[in-house]
Amino acid sequence: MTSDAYVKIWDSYFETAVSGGFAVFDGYSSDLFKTGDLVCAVGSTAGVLYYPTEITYADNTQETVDYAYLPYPTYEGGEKIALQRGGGMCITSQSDVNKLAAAIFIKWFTSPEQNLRFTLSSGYLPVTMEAFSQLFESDLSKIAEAPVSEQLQTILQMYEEYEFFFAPYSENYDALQKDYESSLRKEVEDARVLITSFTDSEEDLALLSAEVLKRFQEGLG
Amino acid sequence: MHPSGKGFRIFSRIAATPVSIRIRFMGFVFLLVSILFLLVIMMLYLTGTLTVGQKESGEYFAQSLRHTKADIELDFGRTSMQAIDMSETVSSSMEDFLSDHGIQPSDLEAHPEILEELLDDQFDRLLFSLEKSGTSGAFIILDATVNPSLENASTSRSALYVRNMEPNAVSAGTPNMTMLHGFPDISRQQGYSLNSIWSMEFDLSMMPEYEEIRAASQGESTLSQLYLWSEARPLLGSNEDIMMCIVPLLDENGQFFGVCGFEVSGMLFKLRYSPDTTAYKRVTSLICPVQGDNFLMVGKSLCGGDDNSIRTILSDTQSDPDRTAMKAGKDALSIHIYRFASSDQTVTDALRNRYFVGLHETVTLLPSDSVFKDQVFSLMLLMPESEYSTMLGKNNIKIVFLCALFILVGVLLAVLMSRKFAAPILKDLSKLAIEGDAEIEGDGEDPMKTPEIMAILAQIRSRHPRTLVSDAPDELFDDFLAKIRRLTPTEKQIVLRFLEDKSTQDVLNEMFISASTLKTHNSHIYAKLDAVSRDELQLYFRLIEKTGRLEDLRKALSQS
Repeated sequence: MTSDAYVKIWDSYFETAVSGGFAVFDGYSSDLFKTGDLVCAVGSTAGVLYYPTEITYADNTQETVDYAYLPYPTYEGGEKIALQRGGGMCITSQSDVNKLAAAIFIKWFTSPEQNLRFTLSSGYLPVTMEAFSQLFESDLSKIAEAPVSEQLQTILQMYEEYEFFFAPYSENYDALQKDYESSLRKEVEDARVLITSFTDSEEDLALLSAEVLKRFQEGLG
Repeated sequence: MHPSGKGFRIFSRIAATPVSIRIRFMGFVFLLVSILFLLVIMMLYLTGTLTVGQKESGEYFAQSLRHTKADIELDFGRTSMQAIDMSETVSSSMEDFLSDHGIQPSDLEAHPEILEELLDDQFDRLLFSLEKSGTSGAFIILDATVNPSLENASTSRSALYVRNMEPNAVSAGTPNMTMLHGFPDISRQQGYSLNSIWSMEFDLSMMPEYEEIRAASQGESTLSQLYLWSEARPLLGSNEDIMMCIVPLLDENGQFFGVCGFEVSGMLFKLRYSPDTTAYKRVTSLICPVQGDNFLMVGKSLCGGDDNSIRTILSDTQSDPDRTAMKAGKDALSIHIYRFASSDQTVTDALRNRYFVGLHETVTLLPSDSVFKDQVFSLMLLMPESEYSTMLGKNNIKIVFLCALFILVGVLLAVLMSRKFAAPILKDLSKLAIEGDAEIEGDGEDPMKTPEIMAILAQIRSRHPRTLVSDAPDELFDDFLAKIRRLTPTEKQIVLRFLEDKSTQDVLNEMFISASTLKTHNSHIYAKLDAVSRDELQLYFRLIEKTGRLEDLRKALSQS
C-alpha cells in the first residue's frame, strides 16, 4: 500500500471520490443507475442484466437509457489488466445421493455446451477455456438479450488485449476485502463531511488526501 | 332348451376333433387350474387385497391434504390477523402524522409532497411487521400518486413495498430485504437495496381487488370483514407468482385512503406447504381459487412440490394459465381424477390428454361474515397420472409375479398329471392293438391296468375269437416283405440290426457310419416301409414274430 502504484491509484481516487466523482455506496451500482445517480460504473459482467433500461426520477417520470459497454479503463501508458473473479459453487454436507446429484449437476453445468448457453443468456463468463474459445465462434448478434451480446463483444476484445488477473488464494481474503472496502468508504465519507463543512479549497483537499492516505496506510498496513 | 350359438358350435367342433387322451387331459387340468386361479383373483378383489396400492395412496392424499390444509388455514389466518393489526396501527399513525401537517387522509391525493415523508415514517413499522409475519413481503399502498400529472397517474399509487428475498427459517436472522416499490431515498437511508424489478410506485393492474375493497369500505363493515386474499398472479416484471392479503387503510371516519398487507410468494408457499415426497416424488400442492362447480383455476394458484408437472404442461401446450382450470372427474376409489378444462372450452387435445389424480378441499381464508365470502379457495394435492400408474404397477408387481408363478405351476401340474394319467391308458391301448399280447388280468408279466379297456378287449375276444394276432393274415407279411425288397443293401443291413434289437450305437459301430448317415438311411427306410419310427418298425417285427415268419424276414433282409 506504500508502493508508487498504490499512491497513484489513491491520488486519482480519493480526491475525486470526496468531490463526488465516485459513488460511495454499499451496494450494487445498478441500484444507483435506477435513479440516474450514476452515469458510468465498473462492474461484474454477471450484473449486466440488472442495469435498468429506464431510469426513474424523483417525480416518477422515466427516461429510457442506452448503455455502452467498454473495456476496463487504464492509465495512460499503463498495462491492460482486467480483474477476473468467479462465483463459487459448493456442495453442502448432505446425503450421499444428494452429493452425487450435486456433483453431476456441477459437471453438467460447467460442461462447455451448457456453460456457453449460460454465458450467452446471463452475461456470466465461461469457466473453461474450451467454452471460452467457443465464444469466438458464436454469432453474438443472435443473443436474445442485447446487453449480453454487446458486453460479450467487449469481453472478446478485452480477451485479446488484456491480461486477466485473479487474486491469490487466501483463507481470509473476503474478510480482508470487506475490511478494506468499509475502511476506505468510511474515510471518504468522513472526508466529504470535513470538506463540505469546513473548506472547498483544492489545496486543503490535497492535504487531507495525503493525511488520510498516511493514516490509512498505518491503520491497515 | 338346446344350447346354441357360435361359441357352442366352435366348442362342439373342438370336442369332436380327434385329440390324444394326454392332450385332452392336460387341457382339462389346465382349465381346472385356470378356474381356480380366477376364483382366487376374484376373492382377492372382493376382499380388497388387490387394491392395496390405491387404498394406500388414497389414505396418503387424505392425510396429507388434511395436514396441509390445517397448516395453511392457521398460517394464513395468522397473517390475516397481523395484516388487520398492521392496518389499524398504520392508519392511526398516518392519521396522526397527517393531522400534524393539517391534512386529512382522504385528501392525500392533493398533497403529493407529503408522501415520501409519510411513508418514510412507516418504514420501521412495515419492516417489523414483515419480519414478525414471516411472509415474503409487506406493503402499504396509498390512494395517491407522487405525480398526478403523469399519464398513468390513475393507476400508479405511492407505495412502500418491501420484500424478503429469502423467506425461510435458515436466513431469518439476517433477512435479505429489498424495496420493490417506494421512494429510493427511503431505501438507501435505511441501507436496503432496490429490488431488481423496483419501480417507484405500485401499478394497480397488479391488484384488481383494490377498487372492490375501496367500494366495500364505504359501508359499515369492520376490517375483519373487509380484508381478502388475492388469487395468485405474477409480480410485474417477473415470473414469480404471489398471493396478497389486502386490508384497507381507513381513517377514524371510516374513509378509505389506501391498503396494506402481506404477500405470500410461490417460493414461500413451496418451502412451507410442499407435500411429503418420500413416497411420491412428483406430488404437488396447489392453493387455487374456485369458480363455479369445482372449477379449480390452476393458472392462478401457488404450487408446492413439483410444480413443473403442471407449469410445464401449460407451457408446452401453450395454454393460457388465466383461463385454464382443472375439473374433478370420477373417483378412482378414494381419490379423484383431474382433467384440464377451460372457461371458454378451448382446451387443446394435448392438454385434454394429460390428467392428474389426487384430492382437493376448500380452505377457509375468510370469516363467514366477510364481505368477500363468495371468494373460495381450494387446496389440491395432485400427482401426474403416469406416476400414479407406475406406482400402482410397482405395488402390484408381486401379485403379477405370483400370478405368473401360479400359471407356471398349473401348466407343470397339467403336464405331469396328464402324463401320469394317460400313460397306463396308452399302454393298455397299445396292447389292445396287438390284442394277443395283452394279459387282461391275472398273473401275467404286464397285465392291463385300465378296467374299461380290459372290458373292451374281453368283448373283442368274445365276438372275434379268431382274430388274434397269432392268426394275422399272411397279406401283412407279404405286403411288408414286398416293401423290404425296395430297400438298398445298406438299408437292409440296418433294418436287420433293428430286428436284432441292436442299439443305435451298435449299428453305428458295426456299419462304420456316422449318426447323420444313419439318420438319412432311417428316413429312407421309414418312407419305404410306411413306418414313422423305429417303434413302429418294432411293432411290425413283433406282429411278424407272432405269425412265426420272423426267420423268413431275416432271410429277406440278409439277401443283398
